[in-house]
Amino acid sequence: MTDYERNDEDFDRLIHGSLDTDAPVDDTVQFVRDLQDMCLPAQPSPHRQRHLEAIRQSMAEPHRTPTTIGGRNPLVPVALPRRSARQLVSDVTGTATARAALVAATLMVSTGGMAAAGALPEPVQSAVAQSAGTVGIDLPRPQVAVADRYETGTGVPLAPSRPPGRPPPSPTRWSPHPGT
Amino acid sequence: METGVDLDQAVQAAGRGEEWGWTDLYKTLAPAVTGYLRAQGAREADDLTGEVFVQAVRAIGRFDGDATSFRSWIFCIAHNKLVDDARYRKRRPVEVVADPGKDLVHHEHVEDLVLGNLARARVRRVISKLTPDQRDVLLLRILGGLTIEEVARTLGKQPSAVKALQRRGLASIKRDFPAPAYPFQPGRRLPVLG
Repeated sequence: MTDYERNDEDFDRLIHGSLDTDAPVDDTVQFVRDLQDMCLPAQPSPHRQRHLEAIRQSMAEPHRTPTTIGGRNPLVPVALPRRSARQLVSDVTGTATARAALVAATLMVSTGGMAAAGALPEPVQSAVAQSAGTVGIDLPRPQVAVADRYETGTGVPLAPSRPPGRPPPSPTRWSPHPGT
Repeated sequence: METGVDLDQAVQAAGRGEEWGWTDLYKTLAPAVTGYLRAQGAREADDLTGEVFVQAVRAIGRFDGDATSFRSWIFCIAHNKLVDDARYRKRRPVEVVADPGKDLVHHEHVEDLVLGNLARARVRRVISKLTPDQRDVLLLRILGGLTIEEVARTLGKQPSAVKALQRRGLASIKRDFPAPAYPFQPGRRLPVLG
């Protein structure tokens, strides 16, 4: 009986299916045959075309291996290109998104500054101060207007303040510009 | 496995980015890679095989060698994919629902199916008793068809260590593999009793 543990050549022949036909079928031979029957597909994989297509697509991709990154040797350090101030400005304002972000940032900064100075219109200042207060930022609240509105001191608003002699707004139709 | 393919030429062509080289390499090596991944318990062995070759295409710039080295290299990628796959599955276990009718479609006779399942169960039991190193060595040898030296290169071990692992693995198989009453041979009929 062949000792496959000791004899590499015989084991190689067994693996490659070139064992003598009269060689005894012992446990090792049976195991190798069963394993190969089990795992090695007899037919080409049904996924072969899909895999070959994936390989084809991958070949078309630009590859970034250590030997070629953008056609350069990656081991040689490359200095970052210097950019002029004008280039930086054009980068920042170059796209519509960047412009929108710039406008939003400008609005936020200017609104914040006005809110800090208490210079916003009353309702806006009140809302901003309340929102800022919830996150611990203390902004001036429109005190005078509040005192004018809450005449009872109970915290219940009575009515919007209006100049004496002006009629109250109609409950069904209200215009921000009376008389127009 | 495809025959009549000059692997050395195919490797050189693949290195130059020629499509036929990759096609020949895939047709020649993919069945063995799939078999190896399947025997190691990969859930989607076919898909992993495709990923192995795509990764090889992407990394061919780092490869320098002949057909023998390429075989080791491709199995090295497959082995690493297997480790990644095992880690991924550990993090996200998936419950597999068996489809009992699935195997029946491919078998003309129920006897084949039964004997095949018995043989599979025996083989799986024996493989599970091997140490991970013995398993890697024997599966690369038996399914990958790699030589001792190629296995050593694939696993980053010394050839003498691979030989020792193979010897101990085969001893374990001899000890644990129960001889079947009726060896599995597709298409062969069982003897009728009585």
